[in-house]
Amino acid sequence: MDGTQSAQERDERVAAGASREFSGNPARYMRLSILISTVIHVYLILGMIVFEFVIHEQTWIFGWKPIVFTLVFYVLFTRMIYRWMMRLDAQYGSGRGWTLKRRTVSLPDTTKPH
Amino acid sequence: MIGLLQDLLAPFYLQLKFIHLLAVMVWVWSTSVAYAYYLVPVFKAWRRNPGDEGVIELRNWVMERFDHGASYEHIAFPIVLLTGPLLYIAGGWSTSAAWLTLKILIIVGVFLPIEICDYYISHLGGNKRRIRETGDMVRYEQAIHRHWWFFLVTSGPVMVFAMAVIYLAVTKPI
Repeated sequence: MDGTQSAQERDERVAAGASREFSGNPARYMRLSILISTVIHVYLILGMIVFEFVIHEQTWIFGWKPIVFTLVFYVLFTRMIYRWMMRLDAQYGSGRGWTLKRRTVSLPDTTKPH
Repeated sequence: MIGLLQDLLAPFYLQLKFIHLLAVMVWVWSTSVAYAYYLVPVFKAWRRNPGDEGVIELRNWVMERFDHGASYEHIAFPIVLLTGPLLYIAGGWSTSAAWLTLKILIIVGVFLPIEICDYYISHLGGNKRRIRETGDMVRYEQAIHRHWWFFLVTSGPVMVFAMAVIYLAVTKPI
């Protein structure tokens, strides 16, 4: 592959990148956080009920401590993964009326030899 | 059969545990520095400057390197999956240990689907270098976006549940 072709391919990649908008936004992150957290918690609760109660006939799983722990963890986990998505995607704030602010960044010049 | 396997493996329980722990360390931590200090800053720069050609070029480069860099993690994970059941048999464990049941549920239901997806997008159909070599730049961009979605969705749960699995294994609280 010669340098011209390589530069052309790079330009095409960059052009493709600049023309396509990423589909993530705060509303989607909120919906996904609730969905992911709910699916994981329901799966773990049902799994523990099957193993602890159905197979081993243990009733501690229905005590107030596991129930309170699960509910608190569910709320905290949902909030944490939502905030994590927002921060990771450089999106701060509550999500309502949010706009992504352009910022100047300084990144290393990879074209120059080290 | 299980009894025979237990007799064979029991003398090597600690050696198996050593390999298992070593693989868990590699699986959990091998990509962390590259992820936190190389990949995420560049992707954040891209999200703030989606049309910046310099950032896009760097984003593409760092993503391709990360695909390759995930190899350590993806070699370690099958070792974890292999040595885990061997330890279960060798140690005579059962699902009556609640901490172990919860740990197995997390590994099978949370990490296994995530890792299957990660193998695909890093090394198989979603490998960015291979897509670039096909010359299909629209597909290349789609693959980058898909990988970023993967990071957004999975990295929070991965951090929490990886720590939970290690905590359960070490403290055996229930």
